[in-house]
Amino acid sequence: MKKSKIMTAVGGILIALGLIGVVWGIQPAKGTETLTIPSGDGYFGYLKISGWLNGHLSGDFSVTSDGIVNFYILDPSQYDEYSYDLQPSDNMKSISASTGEFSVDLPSSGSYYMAIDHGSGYESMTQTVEINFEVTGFDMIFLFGGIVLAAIGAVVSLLGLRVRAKETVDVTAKPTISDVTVFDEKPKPPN
Amino acid sequence: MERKVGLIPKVMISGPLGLKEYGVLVTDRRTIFVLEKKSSAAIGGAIGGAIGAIIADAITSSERTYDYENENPDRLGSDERNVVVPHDQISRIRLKKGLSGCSLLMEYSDSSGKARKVKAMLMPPPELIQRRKSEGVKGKAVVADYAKSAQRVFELALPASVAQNGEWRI
Repeated sequence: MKKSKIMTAVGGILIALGLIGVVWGIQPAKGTETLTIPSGDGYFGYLKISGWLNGHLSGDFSVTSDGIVNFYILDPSQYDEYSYDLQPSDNMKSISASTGEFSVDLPSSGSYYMAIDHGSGYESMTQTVEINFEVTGFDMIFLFGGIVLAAIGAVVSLLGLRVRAKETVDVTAKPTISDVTVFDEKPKPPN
Repeated sequence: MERKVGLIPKVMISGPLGLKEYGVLVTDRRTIFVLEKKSSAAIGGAIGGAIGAIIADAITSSERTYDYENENPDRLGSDERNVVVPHDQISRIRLKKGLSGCSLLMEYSDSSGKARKVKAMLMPPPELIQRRKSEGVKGKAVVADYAKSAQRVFELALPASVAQNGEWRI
């Protein structure tokens, strides 16, 4: 197989994968996770979300065992405090209930946490919580990864096409004439 | 038998989709503008964006080449992408020096009797310009010589009545 064909094929595949990545990067991410909090003080569970540009997080949770839980949505500094003593001084969302819904904007592309610990009076129980969530916005890894991949593919395709043009010229190489040329100067027959 | 008189290796014709590059084979019966390279800007535009521009640029780099000295004029004349001007149907021919170079205008009737015209810019190929400049010839003089040589080809090829009425304003 000719080098140019391989290059254009590889470039085409990279462009296709890149475009898939870009499309994937603007799709919402949906999921359902079950967190189990062991019995005892100080236990908590969390889900981490990161790398979303102009993101929005929404969903709901429900305790599938008994009792209530404390549910938080936290930014990294709030999460640092929370992970120390489960008492964040501030939060993006806080619910103490057996079920609840949430909807918050994620203002930057950094990390965010959904954290759950025992509700007051239920520390001695093992609690299980199901969380349904959806993140919309731009998944930076897929979006920018896709753009980079597509750009590399375009460059490889371009190089492949240029190589093909050279190959074509080589195959069909014929004498070329660069100046105006007279082939035959025989006098014209009279009109 | 049709007699090949001369070749003007490069002229440019402006069309709705951009510039097209032609080689002009002149025989004793007709002038054949042979499409060698065309702009693909419309293809790139349809795809859009940077990728489209890159693809368009790459496509324009492909071109057709001919060995005009040995090429059959009938084969070139039957290619729909080429423009054929029968010499006995020419009503006007003009070579004119302008600000941006030298232009060729041919007005004629096609096989159905419809009035047609073709206007092209005479463009010396880069190899010729490079070679003549290395000989100390200035760019304008290269274009002028190119146009004069083209005029000579037409004067040799066209019927005397057409050649005498030609507007040679170089």
